[in-house]
Amino acid sequence: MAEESGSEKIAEEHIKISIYTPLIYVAILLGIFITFSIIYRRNRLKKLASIEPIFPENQTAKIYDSLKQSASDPNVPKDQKPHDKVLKAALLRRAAEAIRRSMKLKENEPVFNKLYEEGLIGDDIYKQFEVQAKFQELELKEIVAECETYKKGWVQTFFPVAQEICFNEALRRRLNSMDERSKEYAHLWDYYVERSEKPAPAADKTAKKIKPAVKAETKAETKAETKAEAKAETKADAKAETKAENKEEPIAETKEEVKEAAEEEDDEEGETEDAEEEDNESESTNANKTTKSKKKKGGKSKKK
Amino acid sequence: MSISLGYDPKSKTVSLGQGVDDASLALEVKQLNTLTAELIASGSDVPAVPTMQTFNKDLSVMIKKLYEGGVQAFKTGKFEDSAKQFSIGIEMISRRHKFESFQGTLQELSLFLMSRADAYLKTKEYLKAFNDADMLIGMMNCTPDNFLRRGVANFFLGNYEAARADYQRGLSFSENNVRLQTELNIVLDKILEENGDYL
Repeated sequence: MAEESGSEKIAEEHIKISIYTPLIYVAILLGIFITFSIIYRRNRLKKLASIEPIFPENQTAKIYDSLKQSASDPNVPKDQKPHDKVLKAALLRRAAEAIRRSMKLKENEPVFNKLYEEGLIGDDIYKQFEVQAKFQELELKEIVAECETYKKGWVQTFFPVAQEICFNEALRRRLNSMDERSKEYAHLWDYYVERSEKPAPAADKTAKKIKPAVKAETKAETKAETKAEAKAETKADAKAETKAENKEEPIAETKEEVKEAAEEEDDEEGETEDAEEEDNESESTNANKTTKSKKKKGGKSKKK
Repeated sequence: MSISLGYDPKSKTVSLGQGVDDASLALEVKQLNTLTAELIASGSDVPAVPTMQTFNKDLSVMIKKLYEGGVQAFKTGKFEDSAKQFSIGIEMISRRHKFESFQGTLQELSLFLMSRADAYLKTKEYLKAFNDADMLIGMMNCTPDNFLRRGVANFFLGNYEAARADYQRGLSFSENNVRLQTELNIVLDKILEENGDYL
């Protein structure tokens, strides 16, 4: 009897629980879930926003937005609103830029994948690439939607036209950059360009004199130095020392200095040849041959 | 996010707003104005699909005449005149509408660049010849003749190693090209000479 009365009491207690309790429980659960979701999404958005884009700012999209805004603005007088063709041109340029970017991303996709697989780039860079690819997709979708607002069915011909614009602009960019590049190369290869394109006789002569003189000097120096190490008291040793001294001098800049230096080198070259003859080494004959062949080849190239 | 832009309804051109000083943006606006003018000049509501049939044939005739004039001047030994004619032709090609067929433009341009590079080589303007040949290689990178042109320009500019690479690349496309082989031998000799060596 006592047990029965106990179970009845428990049953009565259960019945006493309010009907709102599970509702409150579910509401709290949902509230927590929603709060978590909002915070999570906000953080994710922040992370996405903090990812640095691969491409620079999309100027064409900005221009289009600006023009579109002024076209749809009721405060702007009707005669001041951009013409329909201006808007179409702006949209075409925006599409051309989008195509260019998409192509660049497609070109580099295998590179990114390979580098990521091999662990040569981090998650952040790969994520950056993925976000950019997704962003380009959205951009293209937006362009399609915009395109439809001007003329129904224009999308069919819109993208082939935008692609041609993209290619033609790329070609023109390369053509236009030729002049600038030419200037840079001219600066970079100044010496050669002056020598080959404007054959001033005096400059040509000095240029020719410098090269064989310098080569002969370096050759004779190396030879003379080896001999100096072996013999230490021969004539060649003394001459090698004088050449080493000459080498330390700054390079002659004016034509006269160059000529003088070349003449000196010619004399010294003759002297080293004498010294080498004394030693009866086969190297000296080789050096003579080289200088002769150089002169011959120099003559040939000059004829050319 | 939007930029401040000015608009002239008479000329239908866009300009940068006051106080905006951005070179890249200015270039974009200029290109937009060019495209707008071309769209208006085309007369149609939206530009047609670019094919060889929709290519501006009047301009093609003029360009062809310029090319023939340039070739004639080249044949008679007036290389400078020839180079000038080709330059004018290239300028005309770059004035074509942006939405015209790219394939057609590329064909015309490559023809002019080849001829101009040859004319520059004849007038000993090797740097310009190098630029043209380099552009040609960018456009058609399987043509051995373009490598020969750039190689010759490089050789006379004193870039012997670059010239050697060009000749060898050209030979990889055409093994039995006698001219390329001859030029390669010359440049190899020159490189040996530069290094103080000989065969």
